[in-house]
Amino acid sequence: MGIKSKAKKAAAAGVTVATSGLSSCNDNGVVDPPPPPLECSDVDQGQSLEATAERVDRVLSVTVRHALGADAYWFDVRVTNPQGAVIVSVVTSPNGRPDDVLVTLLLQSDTTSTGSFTVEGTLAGYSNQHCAVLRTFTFTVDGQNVVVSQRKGHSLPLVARERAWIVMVGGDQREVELEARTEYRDPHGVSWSVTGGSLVINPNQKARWLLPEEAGLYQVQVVVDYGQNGLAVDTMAFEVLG
Amino acid sequence: MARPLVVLVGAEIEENLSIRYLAAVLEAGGFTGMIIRFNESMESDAVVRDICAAGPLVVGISIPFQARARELLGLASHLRLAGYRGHISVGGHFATFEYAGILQDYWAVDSVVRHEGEHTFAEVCKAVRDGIAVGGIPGTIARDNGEVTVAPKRALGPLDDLPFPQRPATPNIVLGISCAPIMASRGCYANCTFCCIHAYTDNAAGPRYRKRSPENIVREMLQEYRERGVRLFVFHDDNFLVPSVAKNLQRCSELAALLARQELDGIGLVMKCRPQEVDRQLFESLQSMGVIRVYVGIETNSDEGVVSLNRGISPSQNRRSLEILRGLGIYCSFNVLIFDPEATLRGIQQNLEFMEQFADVPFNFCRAEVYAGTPLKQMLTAQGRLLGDYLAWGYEMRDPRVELLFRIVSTAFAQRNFKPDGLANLNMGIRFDNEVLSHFHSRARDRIRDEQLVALSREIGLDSVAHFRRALQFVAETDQPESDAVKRFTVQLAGSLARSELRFLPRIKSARREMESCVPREHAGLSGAL
Repeated sequence: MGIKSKAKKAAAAGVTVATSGLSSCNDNGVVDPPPPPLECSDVDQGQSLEATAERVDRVLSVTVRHALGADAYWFDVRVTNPQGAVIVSVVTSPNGRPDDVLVTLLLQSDTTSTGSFTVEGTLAGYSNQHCAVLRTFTFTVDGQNVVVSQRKGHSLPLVARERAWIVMVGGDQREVELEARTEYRDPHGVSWSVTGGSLVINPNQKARWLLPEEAGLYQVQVVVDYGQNGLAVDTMAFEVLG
Repeated sequence: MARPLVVLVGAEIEENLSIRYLAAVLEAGGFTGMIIRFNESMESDAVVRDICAAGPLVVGISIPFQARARELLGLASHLRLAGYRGHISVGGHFATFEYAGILQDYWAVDSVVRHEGEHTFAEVCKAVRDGIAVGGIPGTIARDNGEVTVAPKRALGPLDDLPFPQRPATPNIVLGISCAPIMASRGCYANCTFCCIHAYTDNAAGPRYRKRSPENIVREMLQEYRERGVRLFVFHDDNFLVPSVAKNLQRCSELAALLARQELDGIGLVMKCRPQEVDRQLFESLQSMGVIRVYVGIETNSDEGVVSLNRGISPSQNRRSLEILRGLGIYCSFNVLIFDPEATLRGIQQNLEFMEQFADVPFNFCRAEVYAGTPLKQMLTAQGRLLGDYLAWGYEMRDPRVELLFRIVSTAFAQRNFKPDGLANLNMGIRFDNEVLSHFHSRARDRIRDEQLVALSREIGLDSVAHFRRALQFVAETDQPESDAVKRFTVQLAGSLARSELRFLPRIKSARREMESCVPREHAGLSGAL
């Protein structure tokens, strides 16, 4: 998780007020400010998504939308694991708004009162940002009223079970070049430590380790910090021969 | 006329019996079966390049578990992007159950081969060769011209009818000894909720447990013995035994007689079983046949674990099994599913006490994962607790403190428990090497080395238990877990585990070097490095 920018959120809220008062469809000479760029830290793996739904007979039409008003579109999206309903269709940008997904579900029976589905994909920004999304939504049906909300798990730390691993990408008898790799796509911190010798930390998650002179087994450890999503640790041992 | 080429892709850390059986049936059906190894994601580009260069008629991708499903299915998409236009089929346990999601999401895949795939996949290849639609072949789910056809399941046939698996020219070597995986049966009679084998065979059209005849098994062993010099046979049966001492003794006796008649002497055997099948008389017989290692499916020793995992085993049976094997001097190892959906802090303490009591037996521990088609998945679905999707099912434990403990432990023990070169695997490996050395290269056991290695295993086991207990105490004392404090503790725990590892590694390396030096000269140079 990166640092959330309060200033950008305030700007986003301002845009919402501005556009609601000044329709950009009117050719009145007023130019709306551009929407703020997409921030993956704001998307927070889908925390930013909101859903609304309508029901006609057994058909639920659920619109899932990135709620922060940023300039975003769905790069790819899948709806999986339906419970209490089957998926009829998944349509992106159904009404021309590129950050909308219209999910049409058929309730399993007339008496089905609750269920869930998972939205997984990539919300992209026009400046080439790609933010992973994985969220489960639950729906509750009461007559024609439908309430859709994100399923909340235990609000415990270390939520992500992301892995990280050290790869030796170069080196010789005296020093090795190491890289910390992870499949986590959002901003994260990387810190290195060794049990002997010295380290030069490079950008791009790399480190150069000058091995000790003395023979023996030595270890390098990397801690990859995903902010609110937890962390991952990996170690690698090297033997210095006498 | 050249035989049409079919490429089979799968992990091959050792000889992969599942795709090697497929290759053998393909060869018998007039095809050339080429195996391309795909062990890790970074090999993807090379695998695609090799397949495109070979230009096969059909590519078969083996997907046994969800853990690598995304990666293996991604390979199919990469093949299409690289211009491959032939037929792509996927199979294995994962594909057997999750075919609907696969065919919906991965347009690169033309067909899914369900359950045991030998005859089904061969028929798919013949249909593609002859330009006939694949849809409707029993055991398949196929996409032809956009239409998905779900065919009936294929009835399981006798295992003796299968040809022996295709083998590479050179077998794997352990301390100079040639070894080969082999299987004498498929399936399991038990009903564990988490078990993919149970789910797989229960869903198939046929018996849940099938055996090869002793004659058929020994014929393959003899071929391996003579043609590739194999002396160590690793039985990959889901469960080598049945819940009847008399029947096990009978089968063991028949195998022993046939091995003696064929003069298959000087061999070693490795096998897996459930705890309640461990019987002193039976294992004395197995030991005399050459059994040098037994993997015992302990899985849990907690009161709620044996119920929620439906083990059908009591804690006393767990203890008795390890005590019998310990008494006979048969090396064994086990795994504990210390986390499951209903795990409690008290149950975890019970499992830790068990691990402490048998710390001299190399073990590992992890969470019960959700595999497709299992009763565990059905239960979590019914309870509304199943998380994720078919590519990565998950859940949270009912007790939030246990869930937090799991998150801390799985992060801090990631290196030790889950990496091929982690301490848990090295501990099991060095003990196995000692058995290979003692069984094949020594006239008598080196009691001092035995005792040193048992002591090392005990120290490693106790170290893991001690670190786990630190996490348990932290969680038990934390009412309102605060993210930064949890992260600080987890990093400290991981650091402490790493420092311990650095104490144990030199001893393992030193023991390994000493063992290599004991390998007779004619076998030297054939040992894999630590």
